[in-house]
Parts: sequence; C-alpha cells; structure tokens
Amino acid sequence: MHLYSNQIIKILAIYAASNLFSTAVIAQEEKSTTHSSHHPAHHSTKKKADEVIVVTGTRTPKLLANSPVQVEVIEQEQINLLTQGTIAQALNFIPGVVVTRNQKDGYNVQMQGFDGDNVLILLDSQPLISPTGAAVDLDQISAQDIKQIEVIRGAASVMYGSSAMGGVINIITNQGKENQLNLSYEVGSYTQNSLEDDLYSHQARLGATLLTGDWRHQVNTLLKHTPGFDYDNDHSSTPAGSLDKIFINLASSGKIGSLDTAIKYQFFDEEKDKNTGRIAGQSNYQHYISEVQQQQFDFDISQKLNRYHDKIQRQWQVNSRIMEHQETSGGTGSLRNANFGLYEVNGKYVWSTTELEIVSGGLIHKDTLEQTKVDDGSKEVPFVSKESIEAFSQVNWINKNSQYLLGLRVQDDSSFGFNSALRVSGMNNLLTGENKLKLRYGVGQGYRVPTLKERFYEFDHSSLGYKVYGNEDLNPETSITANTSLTFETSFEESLLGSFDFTSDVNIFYTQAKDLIDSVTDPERSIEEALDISVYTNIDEAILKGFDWSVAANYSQWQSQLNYSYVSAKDNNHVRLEGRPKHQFKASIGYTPSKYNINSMLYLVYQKDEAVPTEGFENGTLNNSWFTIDFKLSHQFSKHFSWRLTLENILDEHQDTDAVREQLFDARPVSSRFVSLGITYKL
Amino acid sequence: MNNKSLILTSILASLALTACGSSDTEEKLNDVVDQIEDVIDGDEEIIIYGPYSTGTASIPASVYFDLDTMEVVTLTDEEAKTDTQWDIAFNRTDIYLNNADADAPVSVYFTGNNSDFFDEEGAAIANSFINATPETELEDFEAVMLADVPSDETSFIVDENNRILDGFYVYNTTTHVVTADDTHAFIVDSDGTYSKFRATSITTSELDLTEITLTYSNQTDVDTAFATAESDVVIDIASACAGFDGVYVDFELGQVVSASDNWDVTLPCNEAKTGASFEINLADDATAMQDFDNTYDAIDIEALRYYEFEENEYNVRAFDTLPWYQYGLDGGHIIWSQYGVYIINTATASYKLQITSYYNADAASGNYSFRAEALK
Repeated sequence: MHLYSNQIIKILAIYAASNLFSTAVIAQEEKSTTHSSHHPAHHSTKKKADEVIVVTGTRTPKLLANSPVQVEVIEQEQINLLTQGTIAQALNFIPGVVVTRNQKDGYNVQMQGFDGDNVLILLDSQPLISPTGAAVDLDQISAQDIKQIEVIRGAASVMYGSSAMGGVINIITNQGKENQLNLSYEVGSYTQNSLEDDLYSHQARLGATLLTGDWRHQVNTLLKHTPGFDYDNDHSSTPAGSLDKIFINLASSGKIGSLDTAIKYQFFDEEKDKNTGRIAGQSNYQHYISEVQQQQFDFDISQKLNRYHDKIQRQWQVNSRIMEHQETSGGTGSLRNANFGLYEVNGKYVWSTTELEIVSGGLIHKDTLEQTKVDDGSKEVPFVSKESIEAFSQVNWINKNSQYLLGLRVQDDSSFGFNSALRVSGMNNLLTGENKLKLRYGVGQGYRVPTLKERFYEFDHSSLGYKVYGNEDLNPETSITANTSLTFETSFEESLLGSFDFTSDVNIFYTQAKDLIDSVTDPERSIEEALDISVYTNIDEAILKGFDWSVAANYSQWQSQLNYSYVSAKDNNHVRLEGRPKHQFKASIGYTPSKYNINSMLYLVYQKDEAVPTEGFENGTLNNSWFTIDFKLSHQFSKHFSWRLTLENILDEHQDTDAVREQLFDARPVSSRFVSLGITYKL
Repeated sequence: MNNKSLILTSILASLALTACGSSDTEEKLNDVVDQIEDVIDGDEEIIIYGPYSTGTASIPASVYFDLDTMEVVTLTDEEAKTDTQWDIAFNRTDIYLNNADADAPVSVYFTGNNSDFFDEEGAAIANSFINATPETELEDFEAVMLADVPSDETSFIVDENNRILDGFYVYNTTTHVVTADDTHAFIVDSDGTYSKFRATSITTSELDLTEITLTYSNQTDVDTAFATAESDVVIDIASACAGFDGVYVDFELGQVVSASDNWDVTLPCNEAKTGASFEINLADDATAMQDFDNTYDAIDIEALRYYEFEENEYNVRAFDTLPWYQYGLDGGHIIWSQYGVYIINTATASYKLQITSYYNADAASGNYSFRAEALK
C-alpha cells in the first residue's frame, strides 16, 4: 500500500511538474551537463528545508524541515539578487504575499486576505513603527545585509501579539563571520517613462565587517536616489515622484563574560516630492511632499545556560528597542508633522529537551504619537501614548514523526485591558524517507489593538467639507483562523525529465474576523457639524478564506516555481473587502550555472479580480487584471568584482492614471519599466 | 468719469511726475506709452482679486467684499448682519449676498456660461473642470457686458431669511380666508424622534389663530419609518394662550405641554392672550425640513446628513442654487471652479463676477480669488 501511494504521488508530481514549461527546457539542459555543484543563491527546496534554520515559527531556532509552523524563507543570496534597495521588491517574490503601493507611495503587504494593518513586520523579531496606519512601510527597510526573510502566513498573535492576524514577516539581519568590505554602485532608468530633467536613478552601498577578538563590528550604508516617472509628456501630475533615501546601520556584537551582547543603531532619512497636478485656478503645481527621519537603537543580551552533556538546554534573551520617527508629509498647503515613538523591552526563556521545548517570555511596550498641522499648529493628534505588558508561553512536544504546539498570550493594554490569544497546532510526517509528506494544521486566535491614530485622530478638512475623527471607544479587532498545509517533497534521479527535487505545497485557511476597524460616515455628527464626518468604527464581521498552492522543481542549476493563491474576503453582508485580489499567480525560473558564477531569475506576477472600492470609481472598471515580468542577473567576473542587471516590469504594465482620474478603476500598479546596471567590489 | 478716462488721467499724471525726476526717464516713458496704448486698445488687464483667506480649516472666517470699492470690508459677523457696505461674502465654500437692506438686497443672476462643462444628464465632465484655467476662461468674463443684464428683475435671486415651518396655511387673497394647507408636511427632528406633521384644520378670529389641528405621525429611534396611522393634536389656542406667551406641542406625547417640558414646536400667543399669530416656531434644539411633495415616509438615519434639515430661521443663499464649483472630480479632495460668470446687482450698480480659485499659491484651500468688474 505504501509503495502504491508512493507511485501515485510520484505520478501526480510528474504531471504537475510537466506543466512547467521551464521544466522541459531544464530537463534537456540537465542531460547535457554532469555538473552538480550547489549554488547558495538557489538552494534546492529539499536541501533548503534540511539546511536552513528559521526562528520565527516558534521563536527558537528550527530546521526549516522540522518547523512545526510553516515558514517561507528568502535567503540572503536570493534577496541580493531580487533587490539592492529596500525589501519591497523582494517580498513580491513570495507566494501568497500581495505587495501594494499605498497613498504615501510606500509599500505594504496583504496576506491571507488581511491588509497591511494586520500583517506584522518585524526586524530581528522586534516590531517597527507604522507610519501608515498600522502598516509598516516596506520601502523604509533596507535590504542590505539581511540574512533571510521569514514569512508565516496566518494568525501568529500567540507569539507576536497585536497585528499578527494575517501573518508575520520577520527580517533577520546578518552577523558577518569574517572581515569584509563591499562597495557597490548602480545606475538605472525608467526608460521611456523617465522625466527629462531627472533621467537616472543612482544607488551607492557600502558594507564592512571588522572582527576584533570576540567582537564583531558592522557598518552598512545605502544612498539611493530614485527619479520620478510619468506616462505622458505633461508632468503636472506624475504617478511617482523623486525619492531620496539614506540608510546608515551600525552594529557591534560580542561577548561580555558569558553574555552575548549586541548594540545596533539605524538611521534613516527619506525625501519624496511629487507633482500632483496644477493647483485649481492657480498657475503653479501642487506637490506631495514627505520628509522622514527615523532612528532606531537596539540593545540585546542573551546567554546559554547549557552545560556539557546536559540533556536540558536553557537559554534566556532580552532585547530592547528605542525607535523614533519624525515625518513632515502631505500636499503643499496641508502639511503635517507627525512624531512616532516606539519603546520596547522584551525577553524570553527557552527550556528544552529532545522531546519538549518550552518558550516563555514577556515584554513592556510603549507607543507615542503627536501630529500637528504645519499651517496653523493645530493638533490632528495631541501627544498621546499607550502602554502594554504582555506575557506568552508556548509548549512544543516533539516526537519522531510529529510535533504539537500549544501557545497562550495575554496582553494588558493601558487602554483596552486584557486581550488574549490561544493557538493549538501540530505537524505530522505522513511520509518519510525518499518521499516526504508533512501535514501541518492549527487553530489560533489573533487580535489587533487600535492604533493611537485610530483613537485620537482629528483630520480637519472643513474647508473642503469633511472631517475624519478617531474613536476612543474602539474595541480591538479579533480573529480566529484555522489553517492546514500539506507539503510533499521528493527527488527524481535520471527520470525522463532529468534529476531534480520536487516540492508541492498546499495551504488552506479560513478566518473569521470581528470588529475590523474602518472609517465610516457618522450621520449624527455630520448633522451637528454640517460637514461629512467620518469616524473610525468597529465594523461587522468578515470571513476570509482561500488557499495557496505551490509546486517547485529544482535542478542543480535550474529552479522553477509556480504558485497560485485564491482569496475570498467578505463582510457579513457578503460585500467583498476592498483592495484584495481574488486570484494571484506567481512563477519563476532561476538559472545559476556556478561555473560561470551567474545568478539569474525570471519571474512573473499575475493578479486578477481585485475588489473594487465602492467610492471613487463611479464610472466603472477599466482593468482588473495585470501581470508583470522581472528579470534579475548577477555575474561575478573576478575575485573581487561582480556586476548585475535588473529589468523590472519588462512589459511596462502600469495603471492608466488619466482613467483613474476620471474615476475608472484600474487595478494595475503604479509602476514603470526599470532597467539598472550595477557593479560591486567585494574584498 | 468712466474707468478708461480715470486710468488715462492717472497715467498722464504719472508720466508728468516721472519725466520730472527720474534718470531713466526714457524707459519709463516707453512703459507709460505702452500702458496708454493698452487702454486705448481696450487691453487693460482684468484684475484677479485675492486670494482672500476664509480662515483655517479649524477656525473659519468670513470675507466681506465691497464691489463698489473692490475692497474687503473688515467686519465682525455680528456687524455684517446690519452693515450695508459689503455686497458679497465668502465663508468656506458658501457665498453670501447682503440682504441687510430688505428694500434693496444684493441679487445675482447666472449668465449660464460653461454649460458644456456638463453632459446631457447634467453630470460634470471632469476634464472640462480640471483643464479650465483663469486664462482659458477670461474670454467668458470679458464677453459679459452691461447689455447682458436681464431687464426682468425676477431673473435675479437674493439671499433670504426664512422660517422652516412657514407654509402651513393658505391665504385666499380674494376671500381673505385662511385655511390649513394639509398638503404641506413638515418633518421635525426633536428629542430623538422624527415627527411628520401638517396642519389639517385652522380656525381664525380676525388676525389670530384660535384653533389648529396638527396631524402627525412619529418615527422613534427604534423605528425605521413613520407610523402608518396618523394622530391629531387639536389645539384650542384661545384657551391654551390664557396667561401664557405661547402654546407648546410635543409630538412624542401628542399633546400640548408647558414651556418647561421637551416641546417640539410652539405657536406664539398674541398680547391679549386670546389667540396666536400665523406662525409656528421650532424649539431651539430641534431642526425641521419641508416635505411639501409628501416624498418621505421614513427618515434614513444613515443618510441624515443629506436631508435638508434646518433650524427655525435659516438663510437660503442664492449661490446655493447657482453652484459655483465641483468637488472631487478626480477622486481627490479638490474644489474646481466652474468659472461661471455672475451678474450681481447692488443698490447702485451692476457687476460681473467670476470665481477663479479656491486655493492660494501654496495650495491651501479656503482662499478665494475672483474677477470682478463694474459692467459698462
């Protein structure tokens, strides 16, 4: 019976793999080569699962293959190939992740039907400031010196607290293991969409690691200028404006006695300027301006308490983060200053044997916000703060072919009292050996505590007839999610299609969310103030459900992956939640001939049937499906030098901004074909 | 002295002064000659007045403008109620005409230009508004002349101060008999209840009301529509006024109540306390709307903002019926002028006016700029 099921699985696998156009090509290629070297940029998925360590699923290091919580990983080499700037471009590569451009020209993500407010972005397992509502701007996170990005899809509030209802993206920074210096420069162009007076993008990076005794010192800087682009010759209103960024990251880590310590400092500066059209009735142009300065200071200590031959492993860790973000943004004539603060101390204690692992911890967290209008000094948000004390614990029972997790988190918030989340999950190895079949499943609660802006905001545009108010009486959003995934891995040796590793992964989710927060019209207050008054309000329930299906076939030098995601997100009136695409398809082909020291990847993203907003598009829909193709290539041509070529959005698929101005819905992204060439020196 | 003569005189005066004392006399003389030629050719620049700020978003302010002097008149809002110097006022998107002099209120007539900014169904064509500039619309302004002022004074409308509950009776000018107009319904929003009422019977004695029947139905905060069955409040005004200043009615209770109760409407008693004058007034904490076509059988709470509820006395602005702008045409929060040319009659002259912008050069909203000129 076991052999029989193996055959069926293999046949299904071959059938799925044979649908990959690339695979046939790859097979012929593979037959012609006996080269079998491993290239780090594209771990085969099977090897990757057996070699890559992930930390996000359980807050302890686990082999990817043994993680009882399913984790998607992008490794350093792959990140370097996908982006030299910020992580926004890299995340678009991950199956099931929808990257969206927000109103501030930043980037957010959607996962499993939740928007960016409910996907928690972490840097080294700690939260970041969210200048756009509750969503972190992915374009304000440097992709430089990142070890890997780990993605958990589905509710993860048990381990990570508020905002992790749709999933967690954890960006793990690198700890250099040898002295090194690298310098790189890149120049790029938006080709035919370039602006005449600002033709080229420029990007310079410097990274260095210095080891002195038990200490490691790192510096990473990134200077980036991105010009705007436009789709016509009239630049009175450009879909994208000029963008200048500076990232400076400093880090030192080492031992003080038996303590592992790390000190990190990050500085970020950003300036945006975009024409948004001629001022009505005036001869000059309106601009959208954003000036951001952000500083972050981390101090981490940890200690392993293990003794030689101890069966019990113990470790504690304390991390702290201070982060401050000043921003002046808005249209000329309606600028505002916003000051955000984030302060957190968190700790955990891990106790483990070969069969049992217990992770317990807690944290103290504080957020502050003050928002002031520049023209008259009035407060859109007075100085406000909120604090929370949180505690969590998770038990992991580990058997030979199964694992079970039970986790609980309790949060006492200064404004909302106690919130809790419980999660039960497990993993079973249904097949082991040559063919591996893993079943992961879980049911978990999620929550999101309202942000300070949602509670205290007063956006006064009375001169235009409307106001938006925060609401101090909001309740936290809550959710309960059930999800299950089935992962199959096998290897084919000398088959018709050559020798390759094959992986198939299906993930199904169902979420019931309550008290989602949105701004809605308040008729009573509208009457009182004779204006259109919108107030942040807990709206009704929503049901989010869907599935992701991925197949990957990986040869020694060729890699291919296909992914399809389906999301249904509706409120209890069966009205679709805005902005969510129902269908997403991603495909990639990587070619990494190590004897030429080349990494390359071609990938496409296709999205279809986005829920159309009810307001602003009264004239219908122009386009509700799109796809983009990107190609990235890097080539190390000497011991110290490499060059790279980037072709983004090769088909120049983009929104028709004129049509959108005429209130026609166009789901295509604000984007442009982009070509860049870069060179890197590495010592 | 007409304007052209005034300008020429001024220029010649400045010419004389300039020639006397300046070292670059020749250059200045040339400028003056150019100006004289412009005036002679009729090319004198048409001034855009403003931008005039109507305050910040959180603290609005009114701008009172005198068309005779083409200058802003500094007044408090209270002073402006009785001042007759200003002609037109701006407060956020609202435009007011002076009606302090009831015998000669400022009035306005819309010339109807730029009707092609709207499609056949009356919907605004976004690009027409967005692409229009003060320069492209100058021609429309220039084209309006004194000869275009309608001779029919009824073409002009004024700002009016009205009472929302007026219209509950009909006066027969032939028979001089007053009867209830039971087709004119009113909807009162008071104390959490919506009451739709109409006068269905009136008894008079000389110049006073002595009895009135108000027929009503209520929509309470738990209802989604007015009650289908109507009820009557029959008020013996002559009795109710005895010893009181007014008769007070609470529709929720469906009866006459005292002045200290939560009443909705009141009829003021005459000095002799034997009847009431021909008016019904609202409570200060209530609002009402007219439903003379009997359109509404319910008030949709969610859409409350879009009903035309008013306080007891309210101002009906002439410009509310002559919208000068469109909002949010490109999906953003922007106000675009229609560049309509309006003829404004004051007590002494006729003027044309064209609003060119609601923004200043820094894109701050609430800042009016406009062309205005006496018609000649």
